[in-house]
Amino acid sequence: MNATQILSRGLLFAAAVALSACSTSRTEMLNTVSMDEYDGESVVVMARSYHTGNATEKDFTDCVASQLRSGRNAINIMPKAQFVDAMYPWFEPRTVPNDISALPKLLNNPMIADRMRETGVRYVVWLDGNTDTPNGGGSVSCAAGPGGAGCFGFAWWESDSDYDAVVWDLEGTREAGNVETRVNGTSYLPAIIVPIPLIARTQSTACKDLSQQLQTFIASGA
Amino acid sequence: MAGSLRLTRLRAVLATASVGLLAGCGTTVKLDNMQLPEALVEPYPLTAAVRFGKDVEAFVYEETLPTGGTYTIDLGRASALMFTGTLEDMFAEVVPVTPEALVPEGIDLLIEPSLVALEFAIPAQTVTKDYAVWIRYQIRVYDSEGTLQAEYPLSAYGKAARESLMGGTESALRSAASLAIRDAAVLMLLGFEREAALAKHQLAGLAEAQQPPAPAGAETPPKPATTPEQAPTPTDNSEKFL
Repeated sequence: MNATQILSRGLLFAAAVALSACSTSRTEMLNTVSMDEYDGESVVVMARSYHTGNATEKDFTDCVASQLRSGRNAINIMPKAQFVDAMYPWFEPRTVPNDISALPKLLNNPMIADRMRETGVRYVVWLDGNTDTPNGGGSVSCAAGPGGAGCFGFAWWESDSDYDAVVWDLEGTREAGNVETRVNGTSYLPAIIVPIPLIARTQSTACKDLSQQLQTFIASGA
Repeated sequence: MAGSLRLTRLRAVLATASVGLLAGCGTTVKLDNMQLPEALVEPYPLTAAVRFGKDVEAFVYEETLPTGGTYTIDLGRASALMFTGTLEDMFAEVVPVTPEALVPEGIDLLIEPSLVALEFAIPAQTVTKDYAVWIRYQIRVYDSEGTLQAEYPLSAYGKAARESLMGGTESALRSAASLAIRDAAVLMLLGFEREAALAKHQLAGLAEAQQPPAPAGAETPPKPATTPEQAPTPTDNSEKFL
């Protein structure tokens, strides 16, 4: 590797660091009970029903599922659609149990209990929350003419990612644990001819933090 | 001459592009295929006939929003497929009949769904990233004599978010419509007994009448005998059942 290559890589790295806006995050595990040793049982990641007013984004649910199935403490994840179809019509937005207290009644139906066993799912992770943009300001204007094009201005916006994950243990019909994560950050978009986005990736950070905590909790019972 | 030809070609290209852009202002969602999983429910030991009003399969909703853009939503075929599949899960046997047909022999009840209304909302209206679809069906239930026994509305809802900022309108609207139809199937599966109040004594009475003969000495509940004179009017039904 010659000096020019080293310099260009260094500049690329510096640019990547400079282009990331700052964000703060807090993740905590609440109300946990002791878990059985994880033995490869399946886990389903689901968003709370939109009938309850929940607005968890599909890409966040997909991100958590994907993070949980990767890494050193990888967990066996069953795709949500496959689980919902197998349990049809009992885990639809309108019929899904919203509270752990509704689960024993559901599993009293032998048809539902047998199907649940067949799926091999031991834990359900319920996600609640969303990413909001509560504040923002500024403006960027762009114009194009025969001589060229360019933008000028400055815009900023805040992003708050606020998510909860509740873990249900279907075998013990109990709530096993609860993880909360809050990430907030401010993104900036200065533009002097070329707009330079400095984006605070709060949702992506929340996904990583929440998944890491969930993975540790389910895989190692900690 | 060559210059004139180039100009003609340029005009043709511009005209084609304009047509393309104008066509882009319309969104069409047509669901032809509605496959639902097999439902985890115990079917009634009854034979049901299903008859769709002409309005169901031909139902196409079209609306031009004040903010611009024409939306066409065709859920007729998908609704018919949903009801047929759902009723097959709910009853031991389902007999499809044409809209003009009378009540066929040997059935216990006839179910006639109609699609009466559809509404939708786009992100500009919901002030979120979501598209929403509401569908209202009307369910009529007749007995084996062809007498109307119950009539109730079934209102279903589906919501889906746009997947990208620069597009995905059609796909999000399609997902919302698909979820609304699935929601209707769930309401049909789990709300039929309660909503139609056919259940309990009437449905149970019909079901028991289909069971093998009871041992001698045991009492068998009689099959409800409803004559047209005794049958409640649709108004009576709405008061009684809803």
